[in-house]
Amino acid sequence: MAIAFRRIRKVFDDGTVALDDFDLGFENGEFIVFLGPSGSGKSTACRILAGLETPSKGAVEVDGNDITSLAPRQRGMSMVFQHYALYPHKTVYENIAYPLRVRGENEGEIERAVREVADMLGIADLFRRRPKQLSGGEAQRVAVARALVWKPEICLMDEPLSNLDALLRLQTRAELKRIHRELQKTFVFVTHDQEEAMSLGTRIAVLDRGRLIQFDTPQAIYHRPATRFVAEFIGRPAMNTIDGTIEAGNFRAGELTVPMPDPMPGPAVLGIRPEQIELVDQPGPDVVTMTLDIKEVVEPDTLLTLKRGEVSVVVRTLRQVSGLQTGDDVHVRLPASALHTFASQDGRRLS
Amino acid sequence: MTRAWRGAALAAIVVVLVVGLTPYLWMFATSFKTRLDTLSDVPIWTFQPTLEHYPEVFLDKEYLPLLWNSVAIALGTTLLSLFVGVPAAYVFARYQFRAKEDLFFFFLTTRMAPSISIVVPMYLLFNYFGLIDTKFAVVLAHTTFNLSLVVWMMRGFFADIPVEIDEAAQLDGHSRAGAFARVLLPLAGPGIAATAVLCFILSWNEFLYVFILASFESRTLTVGIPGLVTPHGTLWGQVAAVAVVATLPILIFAALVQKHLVRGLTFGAVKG
Repeated sequence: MAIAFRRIRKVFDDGTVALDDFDLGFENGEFIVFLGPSGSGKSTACRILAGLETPSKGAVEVDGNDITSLAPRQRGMSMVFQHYALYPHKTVYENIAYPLRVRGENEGEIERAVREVADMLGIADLFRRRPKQLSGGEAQRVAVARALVWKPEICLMDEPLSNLDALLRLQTRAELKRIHRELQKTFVFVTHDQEEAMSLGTRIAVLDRGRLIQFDTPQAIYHRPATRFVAEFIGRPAMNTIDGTIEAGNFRAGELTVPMPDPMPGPAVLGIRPEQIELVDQPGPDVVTMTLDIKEVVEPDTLLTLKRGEVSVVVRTLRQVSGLQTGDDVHVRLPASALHTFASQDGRRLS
Repeated sequence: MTRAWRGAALAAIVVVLVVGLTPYLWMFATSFKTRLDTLSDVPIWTFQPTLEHYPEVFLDKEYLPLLWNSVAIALGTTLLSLFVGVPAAYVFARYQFRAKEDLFFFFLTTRMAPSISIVVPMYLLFNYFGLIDTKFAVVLAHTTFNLSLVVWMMRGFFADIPVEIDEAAQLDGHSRAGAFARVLLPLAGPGIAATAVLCFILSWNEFLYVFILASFESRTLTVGIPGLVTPHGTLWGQVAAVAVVATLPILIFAALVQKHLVRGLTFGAVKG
């Protein structure tokens, strides 16, 4: 079962363009993550797939069939909502059983399916409770159970972890990964958290202001970000991006000069991830000397903010740098393989 | 809160209760007094009770059918108002459409118009259709002012239910209408009950429309009471007996749903 968005445009009544020319396709069994900041259209894309929103233009296809005008219940998809959306007047058992009841399954089949999914999620002992008596994590599991109990081909999740506290979020994340592996169904997961996206997705669709910027594996997105926006959005701390110019085989920004392997003269943005900048002991031909401005120890890492004239970069290192003080000289090497260049104008990748 | 404030608040509550309940107790007592006792200059609180007024007014004077009229009209009005108003309120709570708030305000304004200004045209209209002195006409008339109340109150109750619930119900296999009927209505149950009680009470108490549109066969207890003011004097005992019966359902219903009632009525005040 292949799912495809065909040039979707969505304009809300107030004139907001939530999605523009959104084109995306993926295969059955994938764990697709829609990633973007708020207002990027990621939730809208998910809701259009679910049938909760109607696109202003374009079509949604499943296996080549246009499903744009189908009601949510006719699409064979389920959804986990940000605020769980459990039915407050029903017990946990009845909440999970509800999709089967609506579909007219017999009692024995319902019981079997509910037990199976509840065992998988470890919530069988909550059956008699009501949603009000559940903790956030428990409610989240019940919501996931309800979405999976009828074995839909596609399960959509709209920021399902954003209401959980940090530790629980990590646990639930790992669990979702396990469930996906066991069920082999298609998951579509919406989040603004790049770490969540990197850990869960088989492929990530990065959205910004209603447009699809890049759709690729987490590795490709990390190592070859398609634009400056993606580069800065993925990875924490964010990639260093320096505005400057390329001339005569060098990238120059203020007092900083970095040799470029394949120079295309003109204004450009140089990018390098904080964790790929190497600290070295001695000045050398390919070494830049900068001044330490801020030191943040985030065990086991240390974040160093370095300055040279107007240029400022962040370095993330595992090395012990307890001797360094603000104002000290720090020698860093920017390995050529770790350098990214982006167009100054539209942020598109150059190298 | 300090002790002094607590005392003051308590005193205020007592005053309100006394002012509010004394007339009711007085009426209740009067319904068991002999004609002589009711006419005493100073209200008497100790007397030999009599049960004569109840059978006299309800059986001899045939006020029992009026009780049935009251019940039928209030029930009919409540059902009709809910049947039309609850789905309308859901639409107001969930859908966006042009001039929505204007339309909503228009619904409210129908309640602001004084009844006296509409009752004559209403009379002419019902007369044209031959509906004068029918319960049906009164039900329609009462629905005109109850509808806005239902839409107003139920919109608040529906707005309190997260939209995600509707959406979850749709993904669980319901159509939009199915989600409304099978999931939203049960969830809004307490709100519907509170609204229903208010509709019932307002229709039950209403005087003017019934008086003008149905003053004979279909008149209600409320309109029946003035009939006990005779040229030979007011039959206070019987008036009180009818009034006691007439207020009984209101007391019971109000007690049942008072929590939701307050919640529903203050919705507008809170959300502006």
